[in-house]
Amino acid sequence: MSVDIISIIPELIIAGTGLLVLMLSVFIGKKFDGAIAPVSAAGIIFSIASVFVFNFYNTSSAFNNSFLTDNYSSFFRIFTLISALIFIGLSHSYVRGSVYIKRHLGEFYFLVLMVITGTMLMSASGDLVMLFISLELVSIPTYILAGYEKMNEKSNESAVKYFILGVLASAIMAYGFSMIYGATGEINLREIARVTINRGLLDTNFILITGAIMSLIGFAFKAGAVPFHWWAPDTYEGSPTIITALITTIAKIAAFAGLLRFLFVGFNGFSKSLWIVLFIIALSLLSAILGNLMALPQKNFKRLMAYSSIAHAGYILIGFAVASVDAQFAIFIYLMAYIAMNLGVFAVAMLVERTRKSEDIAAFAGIGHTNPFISICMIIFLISMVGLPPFAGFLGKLFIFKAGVENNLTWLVIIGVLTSVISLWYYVNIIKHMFFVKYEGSSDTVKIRAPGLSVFIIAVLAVFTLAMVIVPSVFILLSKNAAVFF
Amino acid sequence: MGFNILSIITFFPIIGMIIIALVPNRAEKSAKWIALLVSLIMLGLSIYLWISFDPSQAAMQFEEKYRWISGVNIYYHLGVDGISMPMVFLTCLLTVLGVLVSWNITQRPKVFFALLLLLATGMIGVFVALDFILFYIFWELVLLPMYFLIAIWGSANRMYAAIKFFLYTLFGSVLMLVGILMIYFNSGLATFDILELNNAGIAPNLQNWIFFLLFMGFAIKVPMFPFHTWLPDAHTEAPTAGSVLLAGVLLKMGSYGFIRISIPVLPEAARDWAPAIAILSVIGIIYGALASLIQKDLKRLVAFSSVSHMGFVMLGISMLTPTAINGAVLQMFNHGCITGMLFLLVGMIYERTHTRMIEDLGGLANKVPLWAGILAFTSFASLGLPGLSGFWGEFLVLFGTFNKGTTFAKVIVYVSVIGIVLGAAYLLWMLQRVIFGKANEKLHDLKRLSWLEFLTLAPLIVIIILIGVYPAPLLNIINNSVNYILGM
Repeated sequence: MSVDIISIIPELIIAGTGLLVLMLSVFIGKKFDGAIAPVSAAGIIFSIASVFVFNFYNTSSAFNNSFLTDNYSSFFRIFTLISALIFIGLSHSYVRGSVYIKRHLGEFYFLVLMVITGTMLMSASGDLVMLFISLELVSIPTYILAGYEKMNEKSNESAVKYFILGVLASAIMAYGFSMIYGATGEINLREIARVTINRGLLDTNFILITGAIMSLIGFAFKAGAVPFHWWAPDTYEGSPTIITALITTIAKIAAFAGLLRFLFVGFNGFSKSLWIVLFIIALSLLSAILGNLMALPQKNFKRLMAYSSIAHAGYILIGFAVASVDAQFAIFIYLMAYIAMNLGVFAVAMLVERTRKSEDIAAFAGIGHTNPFISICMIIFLISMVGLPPFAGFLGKLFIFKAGVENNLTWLVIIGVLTSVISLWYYVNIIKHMFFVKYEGSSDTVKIRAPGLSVFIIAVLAVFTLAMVIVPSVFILLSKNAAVFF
Repeated sequence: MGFNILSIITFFPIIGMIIIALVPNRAEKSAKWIALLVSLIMLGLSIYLWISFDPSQAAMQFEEKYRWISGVNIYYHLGVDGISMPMVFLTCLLTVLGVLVSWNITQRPKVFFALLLLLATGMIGVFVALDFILFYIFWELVLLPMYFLIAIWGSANRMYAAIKFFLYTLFGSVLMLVGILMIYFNSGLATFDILELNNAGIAPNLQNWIFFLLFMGFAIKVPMFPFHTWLPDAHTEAPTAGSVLLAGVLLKMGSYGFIRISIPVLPEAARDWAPAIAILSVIGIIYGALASLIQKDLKRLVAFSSVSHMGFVMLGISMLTPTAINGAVLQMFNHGCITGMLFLLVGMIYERTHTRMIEDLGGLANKVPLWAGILAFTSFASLGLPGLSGFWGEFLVLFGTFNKGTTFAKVIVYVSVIGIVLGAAYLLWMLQRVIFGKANEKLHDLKRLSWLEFLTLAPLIVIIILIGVYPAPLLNIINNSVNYILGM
């Protein structure tokens, strides 16, 4: 029993910090507000430390095999926690400008910490129930956070849409899980794999395959893959920008971490199942094409990023369609690159939004002249999103495409690279506004106010984006070790 | 070698760029001095490279090879041979001239010179990289600074031209990336090293597909006939230094790719594709020349003449014989010098007259005689007057093609010769209208060429004459490596 508790210490620390923050903000009140973010950050740092102290590289399972500690979960824990730390840093200056979040700061950080807990649990899930619970633990707080601006119609709309469609997706997924259970009689992922392989169910049992595809629909919804993406543009646009950043980064990590566990452990050898592979290829193809095309006409920055994240989900799914250990490591690299550049883009966008009170791409006008440093960093993030060297996005795309070509999906890779050329247009459009369009607003909003902490985070992310290509070996070693095996 | 000269040449500009970025805004005038110093040191290093280069040796020299990404066999591998070394020298030289010709730039000089140096790193890197991934990184590194050079300092239609250039070349290069990955997996060697992949024995059927993917990347960059439409816009709208480097170096990256990668790595496919490339090249030669004839804009005329001249380079490459490819490489070098010089000259006259329209110019021989003389000299070099460098490249290409002996090759030569005649026509007609004829009333008080401007042109004049009179030393260097690549 005690061993079981030790395995989830990192998660317990985060959940405990969340509860602590909630309680203290209730009992101490406004006076505590200034300390909430630092306390949350401290909790995250303790959690990172505990991963190293207790169970890094130590493979074990707890709670009757529903909770797995291995390299994979350690990698995702650290990855999630570091992203979360950056996120807390960015939120620190953002919340001060937001009336609604400022009013309920304790609840805000509590919900964010719950999302982080859910994401960490997701990567360590060993059975279907655990997967479902952690996915809900990620989802429910994000529904609430999306509607955090109570009096803002758009925020309400986004929350309701996200909630209704999200619950629908969860229901489909739960139904899928029940079919898998029905077909195999197991809820433990490893047992499911053992049963399906022993009895050759992947070729013949359509209840199992239907169940798998219905579960994939649930994951595809969370990851925002076409055709399950309809919530994304409205939710991204309506949510407070900091929450949009949360949904595109940490919630995405959760979706992909869970999907990896589900497919690579539960459906070990799924690459032989034509239906599952075809389904993933269709998701990937549609996401890459539609995401990029739909991004072209967008004028609202957050809507643009919604479609951009759909497109990136499409590229990551190429890795799933390939279904090899090599592909897993490509997915890790891509995710690391994507999270870094996405957080960077949102960090800059939040500064612009705060000063200019607008979420349009046009609001970026002229910041290249007034704020050269963050503009150069923004160029790095955007060009990295296109996948051009020498930035992290290139490394991600290189390995994803490499995995695709290696496994006879060259045609999918060719569509992937061509759609990434399309993406150049809308990312460069932002660069164009930053440098070549004159800002027409009032003179006191010409220069973007950039707090030191945000600038520091932006700089760190930009350096990281560059470092991933210059010293890739570190990241490759990390990801190679993290691959999840049956 | 005690020190890694290729790495130093390649990354020295980045150091210069960082220094320029650190210069405070009030001292932005010093940016050009830093850029000049850096580019002169680069030029010095490239001259040192040329001197210490052993022309008798055909293989790669000054090689540097370090493990970079171990799991997937990506190496940091640099080296030069007789084909890339002249290109490195040309890049360094044109960078110096690009800095000199931009001396009086007033709009954000810091950023301008920083981008110019970043561009130099990308260009040199392409020519010295011997690992596919490294090659690709440098290849793409060129795009971003060039985009900004065109978009910030270009003329009226610059935004359109800049994004067109960016999208067009990226379209080609991502297909090239897929081709590179296919080579990696189908060679059976699991390496990205270009030298190890020479004659890797990929199945011929597959070679053709891979060749097509690489072809898209390289042919757009050259540009070959149906893919050339980005070129006139980009060249015309770019600032002078940008045009010089575009025409002088960036186009050569494409044809260099064919020689360094497509031919040795995919020899069978190169043979299968050769006739198609030859036909497209000839269409390019004739089309470019005809298009030059009708241009009203002087800079656009020079741009289209590049399409025609690069057609000769591609024709030479498509013949796959040592003579023709020698001619192609020589033509690459010469075209870089001559067209670079033409763009410099157009830029200089534009600064004085603020027009590039041929009909607005006229009688310039009386007003800026030195400029007019040099323009005439360069035009003669460009149309291939014996004794000047332009002659040798085209001559060797046509000679090599004719020597192939097949009827196809002979027909190709007959048609291309028309291109040379047309080349003489548009250049001479341009000279007639620009430097002779009745002077435009509006153009008066044109300043004579300054010392600085003459100094910018002088090195190229010397090179054009030297190679025109005695091409043997350069040809020797090229010849060994070309034979080596063709496996002879």
